[in-house]
Amino acid sequence: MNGKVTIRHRESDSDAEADIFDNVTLDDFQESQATWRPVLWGACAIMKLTGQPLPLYKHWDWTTKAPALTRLDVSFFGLKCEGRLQGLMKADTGTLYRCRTESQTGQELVYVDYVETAPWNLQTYMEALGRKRLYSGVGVRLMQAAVELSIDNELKGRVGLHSLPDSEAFYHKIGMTPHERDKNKQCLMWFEFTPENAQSFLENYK
Amino acid sequence: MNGRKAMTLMLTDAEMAALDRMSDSKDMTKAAIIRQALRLYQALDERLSRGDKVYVEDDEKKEKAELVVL
Repeated sequence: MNGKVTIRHRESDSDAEADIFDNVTLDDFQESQATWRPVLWGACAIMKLTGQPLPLYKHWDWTTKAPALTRLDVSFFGLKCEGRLQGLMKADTGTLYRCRTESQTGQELVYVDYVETAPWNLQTYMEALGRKRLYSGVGVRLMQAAVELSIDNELKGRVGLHSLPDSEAFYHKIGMTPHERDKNKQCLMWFEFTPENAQSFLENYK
Repeated sequence: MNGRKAMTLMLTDAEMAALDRMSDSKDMTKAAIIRQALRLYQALDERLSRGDKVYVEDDEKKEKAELVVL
């Protein structure tokens, strides 16, 4: 799952080569804290003044997940472009969550516990700061890594996650199946890739 | 994905039968089952090494039993 992928540089409307990697280290977590959080919090301060809803993940701190770096049932992925960290994902293969789609009920899956894109790649925050977003496609590439992790573990592309409200449209768009809100998980909506729609996702976003 | 290394594994008949059954029921290769088992064992062992206790709960009766890991 380490390799080159393309994401879209928004201003030039051209492809940009990026590196996706699964040997994430504490340095990557620290980079997210040092470079992402000031931008996100700056945008949130302006959004608060204008009465816009703030993202639920604004307090995330990836460095707290460092103890899981040595666990075999946890995989971390990062994506870098032009030397800067553009996205991070934590995906669990030892999860107790199981498929909820009727044809897959009870089957094991890869659970995407956390996924985050650098704030300068998100339109909402860049609009608040009066700037243009830098790249698009980071979330797609990370979700592809989750599907590939699932395939690699013979889980046939099955992936599940609880979506934050702001991200639901994204998971709809990439073809994940929405399910009921989970009362045991802050009423977040459960989304799932079946083997079939995981395959379609990989083909549609080459 | 990190590189992989091969190894030979000797199992008893009973262990192999259990592995066969799990491989069939989960539609996964035996290697995938063993890798999954290793991930689970490491996760449990790490918690137990920290002094945590691991329980299984009867969903209907809500009774908890401590999980013993050899």
